[in-house]
Amino acid sequence: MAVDMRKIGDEPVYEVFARRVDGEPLRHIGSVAAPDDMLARVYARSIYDEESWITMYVVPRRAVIPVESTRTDAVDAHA
Amino acid sequence: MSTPLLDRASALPAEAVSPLVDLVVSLADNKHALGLRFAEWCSSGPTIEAGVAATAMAQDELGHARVLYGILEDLPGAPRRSDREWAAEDARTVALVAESFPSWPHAIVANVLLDRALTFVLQSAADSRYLPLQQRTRKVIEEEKFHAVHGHGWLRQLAAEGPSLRSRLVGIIRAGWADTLCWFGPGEGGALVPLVRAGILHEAGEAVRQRFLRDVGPLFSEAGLAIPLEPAANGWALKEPLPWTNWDETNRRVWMDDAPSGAQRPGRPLLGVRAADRAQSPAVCPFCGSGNTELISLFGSTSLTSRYHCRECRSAFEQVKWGSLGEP
Repeated sequence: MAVDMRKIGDEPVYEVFARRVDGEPLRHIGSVAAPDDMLARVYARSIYDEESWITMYVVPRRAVIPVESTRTDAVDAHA
Repeated sequence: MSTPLLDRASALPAEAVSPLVDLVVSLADNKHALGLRFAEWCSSGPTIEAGVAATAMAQDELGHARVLYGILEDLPGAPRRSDREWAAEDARTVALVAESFPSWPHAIVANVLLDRALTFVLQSAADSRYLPLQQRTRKVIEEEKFHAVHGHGWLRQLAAEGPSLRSRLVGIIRAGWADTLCWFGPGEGGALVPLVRAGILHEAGEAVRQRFLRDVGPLFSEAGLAIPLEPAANGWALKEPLPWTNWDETNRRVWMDDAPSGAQRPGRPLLGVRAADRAQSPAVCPFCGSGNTELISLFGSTSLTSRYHCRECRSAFEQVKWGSLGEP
């Protein structure tokens, strides 16, 4: 499960997506740094708890693949 | 066999009342103390995420304590705890939370050992015949799932840092080991047996201890932590016997010294502050100017401040440590 165990402070970034009501599109609400998927879920839950989200997902940033466009270079720079 | 629900305190069998009071007080006092201890790490975790998670867990634990204290309202002979903002002088807590966690690994071990053990005890009350307990247990168990993931994840991450941190972790775990494992009770449950008999707990003692060991056993061995524990035919076997002669059933803790029993125990430090020091706070309240203040915690919102409480105007305030406190 610990797919990417790195030194503390150098954990991979997970993007956090959520929606408030059924039918609403998923929104990107922020990110967390965590050593594994399970802790990323715990962190996302505790950090983004101001609103009552009905669904929340964490996605490893490396799994967010840029699609070629005029902005692709800028996206790659932050991946 | 008919097992009607016990929906109020007066329906409890007489023999179950006092063990139930002792169990709930001890469960809630330990959770309350855990909450206060986690709170000391709100702004001091190794990462921002860890600090926020500690804050959330502190909030959860204090909430759980409050919910459990509510059970005591109806039970005859139970101490009243609900009106308290911080720990009672006679709080029944284990040594692990009696003083501030000296390091982040201590906070993680407290989560993995104590918080988890309390959850296993609460799980044995998830289908309790005593309705007030059963109803209060569900949400607690649900929230504790996240604490477990946090504890396991951090323990693995700390252990992966290297052999020196691993040996520190083993030392911290061993310090809390006896208290945690004795907490489930000896054999069939010791003082908890009447609660099992009345259907208030599903099980106690060795059965619950094994559930706990099946949880931490694989974790410790995967993390490379040398804990005196080995897989056995029907669960996990302890390589060292538990110190049952030092186990205090009423306070649910192990006394490692030869202190006298019961009320004669020396006063224990609460919130990381010894009672005597707390009473002799040198701080002056910035709101009303009164010197009648109380040191609540050595750590405020940052590590360099301490938290105080004014007995006159009831305000909470912080003060930078230098100049006001003696040597740490």
